[in-house]
Amino acid sequence: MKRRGFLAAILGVAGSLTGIKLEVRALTYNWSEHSYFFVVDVTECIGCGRCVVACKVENDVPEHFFRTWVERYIWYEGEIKVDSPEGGFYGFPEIDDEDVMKSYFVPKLCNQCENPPCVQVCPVGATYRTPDGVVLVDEEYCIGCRYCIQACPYGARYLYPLNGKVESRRNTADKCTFCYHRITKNSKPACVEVCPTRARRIFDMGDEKQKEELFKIIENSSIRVLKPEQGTKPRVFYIGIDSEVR
Amino acid sequence: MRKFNSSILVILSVLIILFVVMRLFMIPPTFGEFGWYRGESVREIANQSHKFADTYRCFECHIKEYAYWEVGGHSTVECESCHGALKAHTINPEEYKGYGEFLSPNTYPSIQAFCLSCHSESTSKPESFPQVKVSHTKYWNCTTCHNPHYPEVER
Repeated sequence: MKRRGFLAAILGVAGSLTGIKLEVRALTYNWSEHSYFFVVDVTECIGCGRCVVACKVENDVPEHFFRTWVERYIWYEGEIKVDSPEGGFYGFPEIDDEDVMKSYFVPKLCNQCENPPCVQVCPVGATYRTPDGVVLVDEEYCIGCRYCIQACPYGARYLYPLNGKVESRRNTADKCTFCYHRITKNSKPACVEVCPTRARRIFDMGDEKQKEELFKIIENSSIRVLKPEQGTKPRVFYIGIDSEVR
Repeated sequence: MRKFNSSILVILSVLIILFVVMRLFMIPPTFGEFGWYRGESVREIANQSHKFADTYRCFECHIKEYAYWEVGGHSTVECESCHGALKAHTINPEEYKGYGEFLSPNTYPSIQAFCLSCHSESTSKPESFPQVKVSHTKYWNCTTCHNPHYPEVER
């Protein structure tokens, strides 16, 4: 009986110590009131690459790595070519080809999936999805195992290189955050801010006006998401792309 | 009832206590605050510093430019699209002029190259977008005829 009591005591102490506290501390920004959607209008994009530059400046993204980049799709008879010289950082050289049937630019970024494969595979809980619909990476907790990088069907993640500017971020997975530090303070993401043709737009479903605007866009134009067959439910909507764009 | 070997129980309890103590030290305090991740990291990311300011901040001082920009064809283009990240300038305009910012005309070899970074002719661009042939800018400086804040040429 004595031993049994001792065991019960140990189990009790262990339970209270290991029990995860689920108290929610109040943030000044209430994320349950917000929900973000991104709209990319490729019929407006001119491929100037300003979004790529702005993203690099705002988020200290190192050279040759991208949180957002621009691809150019070129249709020839019977084949499609895709190019993205340095992510579109310096713009695109003109194609001197008479055979081009059609061509347009497709800006790419993290799709902030509602069903993110990258979050599922993380072995340490370093990447997660916030209630306002943004997938983030905890740079302190990430061990740099690259599971999430290969799990992402859109190639939106990269490993922050060892010569990168931000020391705490080195050798961890890095990705687009919709400029989380900006949208939580009522600013637009850097790429949206600099886009000269308003091809990139962000909508907060918590705001009645923006919500109506987004609904109007969905009503009036044909919306596609990238790789719908993956079942990831992306939150980045594309206007005017063909099914070949993946 | 079979008698337990008491030493096994002692070892077991020591192991359990060791596990619990190690767990206390190894798991960060805010883990599980919102879910299966470190709650503090959300605040860390949300508190990163801005490098781009909001457009309305510019017009607290640059009213003349606003008067042109607001009515012209470039009114869809935000200030920092052509002038670069200038949050530091909005905080301390005297000290930080920010002439050499990325995206600003000074980082391009010439003003023509700067304008052509958007307006060069390309088959990939939407047809409604105003595009110029490179030869158009060979002999002329864009700003001779066009005011970049109000690009329409008035004859």
